[in-house]
Amino acid sequence: MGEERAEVLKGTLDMLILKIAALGPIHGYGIAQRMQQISRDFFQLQQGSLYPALHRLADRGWLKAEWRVTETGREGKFYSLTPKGRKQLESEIENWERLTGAVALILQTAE
Amino acid sequence: MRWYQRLFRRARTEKQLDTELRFHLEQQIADYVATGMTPKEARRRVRLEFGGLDQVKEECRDVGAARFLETIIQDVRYGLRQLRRNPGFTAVAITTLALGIGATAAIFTVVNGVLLDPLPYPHPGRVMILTESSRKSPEMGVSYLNFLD
Repeated sequence: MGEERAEVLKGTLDMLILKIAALGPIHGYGIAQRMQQISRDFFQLQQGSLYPALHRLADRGWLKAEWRVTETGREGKFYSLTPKGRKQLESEIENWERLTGAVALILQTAE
Repeated sequence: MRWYQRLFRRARTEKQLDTELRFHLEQQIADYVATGMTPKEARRRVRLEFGGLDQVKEECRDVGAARFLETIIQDVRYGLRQLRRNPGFTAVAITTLALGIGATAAIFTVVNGVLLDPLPYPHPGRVMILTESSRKSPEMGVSYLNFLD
């Protein structure tokens, strides 16, 4: 992929966070790591911007935050998906698929 | 945490936010050091990747409904502090308000009594003015005896 890196598209960050949190309780650092790993470093995320997003999602009741002791014996703030968050994630994925589907259709047929 | 709880637990929230972000930074530094970076280099790189710490904190604080109230409370406190620091200005401002409100209230009391309140009779809508007219003068008061006639 080389130098070709994308800023996380506005509006998709929430969806990506919810998706990763759906896999189980995870702290902010873990989310950042996983996002880089899974996307093979394609997304260039200003790591700090993750936290306002996490706090916003928690405030809306889509994520639940709790303090736990990590493997390294430190206290970390772990986020997990709430039932409300799961519903939100589903609807965001649906929207995303409709959007990308429509874009793909235009690209294919407008030649 | 509910929004109203946040109002009363500012210190705790602040500490938790700090712990959370520091956790991230220190983990990342440790990971970079583990890949062979010098601690100094790792710290520098993490700071670059993370962005301004205080800016991130501020954005986190901005989340939620409590923020609105917090800001108002801050503004009110600031206002009171300023008033205490300038007693002269405060006196003038209060006097102006007192005179203004007093004068307005006084005038309204008069207007209310004279123009707005209904007259203190039964059926105030049916009160009338009686006049007499003659060739000499078109409109005169009616004497009580004439009225009785």
